[in-house]
Amino acid sequence: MADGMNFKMPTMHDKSVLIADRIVRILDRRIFPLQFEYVDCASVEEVAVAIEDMVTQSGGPYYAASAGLVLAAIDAEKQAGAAARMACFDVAAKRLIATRPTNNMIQTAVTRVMERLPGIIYGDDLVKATEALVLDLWAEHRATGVFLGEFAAGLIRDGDTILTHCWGESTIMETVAAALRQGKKFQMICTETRPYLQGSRLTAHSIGEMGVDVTVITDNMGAAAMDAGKVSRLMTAADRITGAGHVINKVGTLQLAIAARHFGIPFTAMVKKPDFSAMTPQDVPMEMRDPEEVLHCMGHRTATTLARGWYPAFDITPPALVTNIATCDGVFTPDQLSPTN
Amino acid sequence: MTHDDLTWPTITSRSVTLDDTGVHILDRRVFPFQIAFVFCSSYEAVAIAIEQMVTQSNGPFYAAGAGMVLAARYAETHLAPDARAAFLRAAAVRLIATRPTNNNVGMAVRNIVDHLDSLEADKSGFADRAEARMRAEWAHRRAALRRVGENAASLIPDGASVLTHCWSEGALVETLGALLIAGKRIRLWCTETRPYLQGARLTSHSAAEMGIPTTVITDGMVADAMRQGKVSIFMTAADRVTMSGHVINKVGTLTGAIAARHFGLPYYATVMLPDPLAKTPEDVEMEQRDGNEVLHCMGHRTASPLVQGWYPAFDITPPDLVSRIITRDGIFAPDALVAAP
Repeated sequence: MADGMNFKMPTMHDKSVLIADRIVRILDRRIFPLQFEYVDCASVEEVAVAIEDMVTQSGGPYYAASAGLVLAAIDAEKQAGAAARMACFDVAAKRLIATRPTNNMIQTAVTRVMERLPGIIYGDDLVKATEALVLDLWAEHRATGVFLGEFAAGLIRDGDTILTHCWGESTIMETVAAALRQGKKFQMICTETRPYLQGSRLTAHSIGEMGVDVTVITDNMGAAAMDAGKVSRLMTAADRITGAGHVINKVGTLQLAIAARHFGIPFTAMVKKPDFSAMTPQDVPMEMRDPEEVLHCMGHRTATTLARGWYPAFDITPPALVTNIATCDGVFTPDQLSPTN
Repeated sequence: MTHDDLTWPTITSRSVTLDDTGVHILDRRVFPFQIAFVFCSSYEAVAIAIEQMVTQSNGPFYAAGAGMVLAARYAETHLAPDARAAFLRAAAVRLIATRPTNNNVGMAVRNIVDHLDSLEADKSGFADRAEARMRAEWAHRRAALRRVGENAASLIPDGASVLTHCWSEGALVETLGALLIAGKRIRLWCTETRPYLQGARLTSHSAAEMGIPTTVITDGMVADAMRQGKVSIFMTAADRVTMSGHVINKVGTLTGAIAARHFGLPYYATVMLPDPLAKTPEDVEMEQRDGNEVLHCMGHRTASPLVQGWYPAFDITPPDLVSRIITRDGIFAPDALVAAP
């Protein structure tokens, strides 16, 4: 059981994406924490390809895509006039947003930078100014995660064992941090989350770095762990939550939510803000990824060559299976979500 | 098309081969990437091979039976006539200890050790008589599996899409064979079945060898495949079925059964016969495997060094989640099981 205030924030809290001298360094989550390496990107295209190749994922693309706009500033700086400069950013923004359609963090990050660019677009050192703007944005972004974490941690009870799926980035890190600050005593179980192993590598490692007792299970063991009385609470982040309370998250969330309902275990989904531009799942493009990824694990072939794979990146958990939703603004039942919360 | 005309999979036709030198066990840990055999010249070597999961599912039935023949050969060659029975009983205890949950090893071993008097262990020719008894048992088993398969196939309509979990060995292969003989076209979806990847390697390969279109998904995609209408039936084998109708099978079966119930799909479990000695799950020892296996995939570390793993080999699906139990003797509602005469 973890307890007390003596913990440090995980490596992935503030070392996922670094902006160096005209280089964006992206922590390679495909191999972390088994190896600790960065992919260095010198252009917007290299950042976009890195996002597409899942060098970073979850909350990482928020940082990577906004950092990509610092690289766009290198070209823009050579242009005379605001319109020509903004045109460079527009091209970069479109390329970055096109990388992953379902998670709207990339679009949010890029849009926020673009909205603030007019204030600096005329300056001499556009690269430095863009970098400062992006770093400010990151600080604000991390601060909102703290609010979410406090609300979500308020749901945790002493003695809980919390099952989580995939990797919730700042959402899960801030929730665990807040629970530790609140003196809660709890342990965690992470699904490994195939094919990319976000759970066994990123979540389990980051929680372990914070000193919390953490157990990894395979993705098929969720119901068995619940049946064995090992789970008192299911908590996952969400890539999006619709205005109607549908939770769109890494594939596998749905079957855990169904099992949790079967065993009477509460399911809390966590997202900074619900997406009121998407009132139903029909408004969200659902990303299908390359089925070959399902047939491999960490670069090694795991399946016969005689079969094909299938890889929906996300699934949709209907509001009826969601106990509550923690956001930056509080904890709500799925039917209580409102833009004015 | 007849039973003899079908292409039968490598893994069932070459699983365990007993010859004059010893036992050749197909190494399922590396199959289908390599076709390799572990050679065992003693029952102890067979026991170790079973413990190390060189073979699994129905494989231990054939391997343990062959191990008893090796023990009989050793006893006849090296031991005094009055010492042979005790030696065979010790071999039986050793082999049964390898995998306590699955009945297969016990059935194979008892086929020899319960008949030492009629096999005349103290007389010349004992080993040959033991081998003949074992080979007859194998033929009997294959015939019974064929009846399980024919019964299961009768429940599966033309055009069905069947999701299965783990590797059902003879029951699944015979079901697919019976479907092909009946001219029914189906698709098979297989979970990869971490940590050992029975689905990705054994099930999908064997079905595809028989010409069935086969798709592999990760263990997290079961509910989403159902939600998207990709599968119409969930069907697994069972390591044991209790007389109370509980299905004990590879961990993850419960997840699939709960999801199937949620989406209104039938769940069928196949088993040769329910276990008359197990009235309820309390009568079944549940094997807990080394948690480190969950932290690796095909020999490569997949998890953070900061975590522990948890690996219950099996889970228990209660009868109210089971649509039908399919046995050698017919198709039963889970609350209507009867002991075989």
